[in-house]
Amino acid sequence: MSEGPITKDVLVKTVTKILIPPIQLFGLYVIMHGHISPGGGFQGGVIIASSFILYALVFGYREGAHRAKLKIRQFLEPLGPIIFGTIGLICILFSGNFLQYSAIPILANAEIAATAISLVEIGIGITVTAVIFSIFMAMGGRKTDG
Amino acid sequence: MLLNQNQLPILLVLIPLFGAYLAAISVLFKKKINNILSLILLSLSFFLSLLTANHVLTSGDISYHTAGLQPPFAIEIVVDPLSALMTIIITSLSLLTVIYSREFIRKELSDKRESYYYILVLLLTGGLNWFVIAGDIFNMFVGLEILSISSYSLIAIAQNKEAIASAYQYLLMGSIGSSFFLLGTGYLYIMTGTLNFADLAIRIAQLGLFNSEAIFASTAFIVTGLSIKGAIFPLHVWMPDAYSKALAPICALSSGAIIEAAVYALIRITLTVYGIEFITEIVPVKTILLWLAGIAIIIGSLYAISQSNIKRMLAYSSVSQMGYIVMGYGIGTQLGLSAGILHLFNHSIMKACLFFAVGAIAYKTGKTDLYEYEGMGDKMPVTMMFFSLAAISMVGIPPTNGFISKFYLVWASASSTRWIFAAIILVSSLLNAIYFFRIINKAYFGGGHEEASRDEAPYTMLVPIGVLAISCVVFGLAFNIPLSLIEPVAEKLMTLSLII
Repeated sequence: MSEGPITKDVLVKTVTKILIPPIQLFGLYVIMHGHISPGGGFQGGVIIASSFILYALVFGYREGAHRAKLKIRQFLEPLGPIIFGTIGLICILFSGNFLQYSAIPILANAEIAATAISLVEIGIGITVTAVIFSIFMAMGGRKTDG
Repeated sequence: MLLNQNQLPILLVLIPLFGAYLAAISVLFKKKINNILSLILLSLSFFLSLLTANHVLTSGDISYHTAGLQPPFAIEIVVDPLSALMTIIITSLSLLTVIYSREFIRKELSDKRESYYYILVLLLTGGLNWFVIAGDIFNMFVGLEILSISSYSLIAIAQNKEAIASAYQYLLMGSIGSSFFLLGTGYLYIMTGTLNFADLAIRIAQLGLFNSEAIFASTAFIVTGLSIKGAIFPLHVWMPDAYSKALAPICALSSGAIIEAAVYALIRITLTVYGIEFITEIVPVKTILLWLAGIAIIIGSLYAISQSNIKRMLAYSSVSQMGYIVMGYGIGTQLGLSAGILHLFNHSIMKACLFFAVGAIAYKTGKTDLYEYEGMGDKMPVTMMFFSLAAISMVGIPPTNGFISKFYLVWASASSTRWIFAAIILVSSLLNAIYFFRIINKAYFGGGHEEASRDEAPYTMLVPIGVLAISCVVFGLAFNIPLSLIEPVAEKLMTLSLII
C-alpha cells in the first residue's frame, strides 16, 4: 500500500485534483463563519483534513506524507492552542478576564470583537487539520515513517 | 500591579496547559529543552498556587468568570481554601516529579519519548488544576478528561508490552468512569438546566427534585464514575496492574495527585450539589461508602501483605489509604470530613515519597522485589532512610503526619460512637506495620552487608525524596497548616443546607 499510487485511473486522479480546492475553500468558509453560523474551527478543520486524506488515498501514502510533512504537522499541532491561549493571555494583560475581548482597546467595539473569536477558530482549525491528518497517517503506515 | 490578584486561578490552569503546547513546539527547535522548560513552568505554577492559597486565606474565596460574563452563563472558576490546598499538592508534586525525572527518564526512555513525557506531565498538571478549581460540573469533566488521557499515555509511555496492556486496561476502566460522570452530568442538566455548582444546588432545592429518579441516577453515575477514577474499593482493580508496570515518578504523581483529586471531586460534588441531607437520608451514599471504606482498609492491607513486588504492594496500600479518606467523609461529621481530607493531604506526601524511593532503588539496582532488598540499608543509606521515614509515617507512628491524620480519624469515629471503625483503623495500622516493617527489616537486618558497597542515587532524585520525607515529619508537627485550609471548608460543606 505504501508503494506508489493506489490507482492509475486518470479519471479518479483528475476528479480529485478538481475537488480538493473547493473542499478546502469550503473548510475555510466553515472556519471563518464559525461565530455567526453553524460550524467552527473543529468542523472546518476536519473538512480541510479530509481533503488531505482524499489526496493521500488517491495518490498514495508516500505522496500524501510528502505533501504534508511530519515536521510541519508537528509544528502546526500545538500552534492552535498557543494562538488560543495567547489571545486569552492578552486579555489578561489588559486587566480583563480570560477571553474577555472587550478589555483589549482595539476590540472594544462589539463587532470588531467578533473577529477575535475568528482568530481563536483559526487556531483550532489549524490544530484539528494537522491532528486529523496525523491520525490518518499514523493508522495508515505503521512501519513507514509518516 | 499589572496582574490583578484575582487572575491567579486562571493562570494556575493556563501556565501548565499553555506550557505543554509551548514545550511541544520548542522541542522541534531545541532537543532536551523540555526538562528545563517544564521545571520553570511548574515552579511558577507552584509559586502561584502558594500565592493563591495566601490570597484565599486572607481575603476570602476567589470566583473567576471567563469572557467577562456572569455565572451561570460564564465558565466559573472557584477557589476556596480546600481547592487551594489541592492545587498546592498538585503543583508541588508535579514539580518534584519533574526534578526527579531528570535522571530517571533519561535512563528509561529514548530522547523522543523523553520530550513527550514532559509535555504529558504539563498537560496532566493543567488538567488536574482545572479539575479541582472548576466551578461547574462540565468543566470539571473537561479537566477530568485532560488528566485521564494524559495519565493513560504516561502509563503506556515505557512502550513495553506489559505497560501497554496495563495502560489499556486502565483506559477501559477510566473511560467507563468518565462516561458515567458525563451521564450523571447529563441527567443533572436535563433536570435543572444548569451546570454551575452553586446554581445546581439552588435549582435542585427550588424545583423540589429530591425525590426525582433522574437525580438519583445522576448521583449513582457520578459517585460510581469518580470511584473508578479514585480507585475506591471495589473499583480499584485497574490500579495495581497500572502501577506495577508504570514508571515510578508516574506512580507517585498518580497515587499522590490523580486519585486524590478524584476523591476530592467526589466530596465536593456530593456535598455542594446534593447537600449533606440528601446523601445521608435520601440516597445513603455516605453509609455505603463508609462500609466500603471499612472493607477496603482491611482487604487492601491484606492484599498488600501478600505482594512481593513493592510497587504492587504500594498500590494495594493506596487502596487501603483511599479507604481512610473515604471513611472520614463517610463518618459524616465535620471532624470526620476534616480528618479524611487531612489524610488525603498526608497520604499524597507519604505515598509519593515511597514511590520515588522505590523508583530510585530500581534505577540504581534494578531491584523491585521485596526479597531482593537485602543489604539495601548499606547500599543506599540515604534513600532507605527517607523510605523508612515515609513508611513509619504510613504506619502512623508519632511524630509523623500519618499519626496525626489517623489519630483524627479515630477521634472522629469515636466521637460519633462508631467504635467499629476506630477498631478497623487500629487493626489496619498493625497490618500496615507488617508490610512496611518487613521491607525495613530486610533492608537493614536482612544480611547482605558484605557485598554492599555504597552506591547512592543522584542528587536530583534524592532531593525530591528528601523533601517529601522531611515534610512527613514537618506536617506531623505543623499539622495546623493544612488544617487551617481544610477546616473552614469542612465547616461550610457540612452546614450547607437544603433550604437556601
